[in-house]
Amino acid sequence: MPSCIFPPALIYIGAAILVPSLRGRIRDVFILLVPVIAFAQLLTFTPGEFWTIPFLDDYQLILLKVELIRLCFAYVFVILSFLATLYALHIKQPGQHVAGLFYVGASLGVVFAGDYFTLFVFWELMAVSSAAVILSRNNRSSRHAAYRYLLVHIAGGACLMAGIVFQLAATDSIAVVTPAPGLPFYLILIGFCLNAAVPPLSAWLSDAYPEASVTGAIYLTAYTTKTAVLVLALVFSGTEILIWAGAIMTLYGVVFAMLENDIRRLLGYHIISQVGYMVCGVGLGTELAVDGATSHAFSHILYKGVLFMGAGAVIHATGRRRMSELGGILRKMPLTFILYMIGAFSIAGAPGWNGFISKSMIITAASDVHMPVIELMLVLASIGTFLSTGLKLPYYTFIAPDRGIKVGRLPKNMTAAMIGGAFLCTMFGIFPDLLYRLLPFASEYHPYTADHIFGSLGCMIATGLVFMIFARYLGGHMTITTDTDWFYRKAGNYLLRFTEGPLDNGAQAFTRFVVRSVENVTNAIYHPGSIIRTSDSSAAARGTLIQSIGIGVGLTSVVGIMYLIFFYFSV
Amino acid sequence: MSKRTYFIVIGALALVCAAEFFVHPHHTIYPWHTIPCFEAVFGGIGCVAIILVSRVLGQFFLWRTTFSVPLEQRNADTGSSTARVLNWLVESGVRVSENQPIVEIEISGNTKVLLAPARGKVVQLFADPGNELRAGETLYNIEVTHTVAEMLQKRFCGEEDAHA
Repeated sequence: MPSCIFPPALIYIGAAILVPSLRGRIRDVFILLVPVIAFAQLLTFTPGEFWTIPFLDDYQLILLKVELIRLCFAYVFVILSFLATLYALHIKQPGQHVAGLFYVGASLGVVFAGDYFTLFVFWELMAVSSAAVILSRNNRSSRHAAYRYLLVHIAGGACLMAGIVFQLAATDSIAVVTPAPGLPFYLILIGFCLNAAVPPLSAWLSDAYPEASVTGAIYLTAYTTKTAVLVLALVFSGTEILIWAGAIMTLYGVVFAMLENDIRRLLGYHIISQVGYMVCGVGLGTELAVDGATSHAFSHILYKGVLFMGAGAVIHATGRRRMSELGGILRKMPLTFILYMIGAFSIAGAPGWNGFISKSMIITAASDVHMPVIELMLVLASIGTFLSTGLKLPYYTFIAPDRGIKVGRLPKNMTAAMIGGAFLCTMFGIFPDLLYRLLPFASEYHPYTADHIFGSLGCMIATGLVFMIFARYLGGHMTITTDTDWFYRKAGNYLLRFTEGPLDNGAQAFTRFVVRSVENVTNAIYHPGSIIRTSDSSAAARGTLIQSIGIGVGLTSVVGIMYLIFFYFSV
Repeated sequence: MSKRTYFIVIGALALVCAAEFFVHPHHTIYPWHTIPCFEAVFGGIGCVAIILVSRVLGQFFLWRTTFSVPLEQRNADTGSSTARVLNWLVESGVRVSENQPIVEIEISGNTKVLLAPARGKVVQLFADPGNELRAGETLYNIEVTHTVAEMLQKRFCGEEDAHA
């Protein structure tokens, strides 16, 4: 029994329930205190602790299984929840705070879940609460996006559940281990990959995240995809298909980001791209690769938070979200620009920031196992990342010619959260050992070698030069990019038309048929002799409808009771 | 970009490349790990490749041109520069002709009907009846040809070109 009253997941969920009853300054202090308490609790955990409860006689639910890799994800989840809460502190309505805390709690539940049943429950809770975060913006586009998001994740959850059931049938155990080969393996893999946004199951991410509110989006960037990376690392480490899926993902995200005009959607595609590195690292499965995936997840959560906060600050201050409508706000928002650029240098892997110390681990791991194509694909994706998040987005948002955009004031807490995130990105970049000693396998790795530093710098400066040559052709286009969500949007529309048209007509015809048959039977009972009478007036039909329903219910209950009596005596 | 910026960037690139000749490669597995400046060359070529590939995919397969029609200043209350959306006269997904009525708004007590700025397909509505919008915020997205989108851009967002 560990040194806590309940797992960190329940701290967040309990706090979420309390939030609506608090107001003003007290609530602000309370929601900032939750991550602090959870972090203090995490510090007391030592690997190997369990918190189990018996379940259905034969099974054990493991609500808290502490391992180094899980602990590493939990630390950064809690840190980001503090920054995200701080960033959203000026929001007066409690809805988003509740949804956000619930979401963090659910993802911490997944992080520490030691059995598939607990994992599934928190997995679904995560889907629902993240949809609530999107919904809390409460306008038309966010409602639609949240609805599509929820449908996709329910499908993914159903797939996972089916996999878990098959796994239980095959092995008679619900422990989180590599599933039995065959159906359970692939169903669980698909369920996890959907949450990790592996294409073609990735369109939900870039579709829904930019529709969340400026503050809600910060929560979304971190949890769903990274819990998926963690569970992939726990049970699918070394699965070869993930190496290629991950490498393709990195380039897929980069190409789609290049086509994007909406600044947060561009960054959303780079979540897909960066998670690709982690999925690839998990697929490689060596100690260095899994350490790389873990540390990259840690770094990614911090710098992606900073990038989304920066983009959100621009949207908050200007009311515009497309690069083709922005430009020239550098003088008016210099601090936001600097902090955004720290995030951009981190994601691009510039020496001195935290992307450099983690991304290079995965790339080195790929060359260690002699996969040159993978290594070059990952480096290429890194170039594309710098091109769109480090050059194109800031150039067209901040530096391009001024359009006379009015810039509003930023709340102080938003700036503070950005500073906090940028500080952590720089701190872990300069002192990589702070992060490396948290890693599960503690592999020996030194990022700051002279050839590595000069190599990265050369690569980035060359990218910058090419950008300068092509800059005039790269501006935001007023276009919408078709992604794989096209399929379910179209299919959804056709399904809706089918249900409203043929299916509904069919159902009505069927109802009419049933009503008429019941009517005829009724007539046969009430008026023996006149067997068939077609109903001619609708009022009469309604009258007989009620009668026939009554008789139908009566008959059914008699049959049911008789069945129960027979059943009782036969047992 | 100014000549000075080019000068600085090319200078920095030359410096880094020169430095690589004096650095002993640390972690060599493939031949290219030993080639000096490999990363810089790969970076330049890779960057061009990404730009071209994404552009071709966009132009021929993935791009649809939409324009976000904003609430104009002249259609907003002069004091608070807001207007209230009363009623949508179209649904999303509907093809509209130029000057077809799209939305009823209320500006300081008066009702006004806004018309479609061009022929196209309404793809997304960004407000519900009863919502207050500030001038400059998006009312709805309309799918149009690229040239029309550029014309609308000039009309709604001033004369500056995005590529100037």
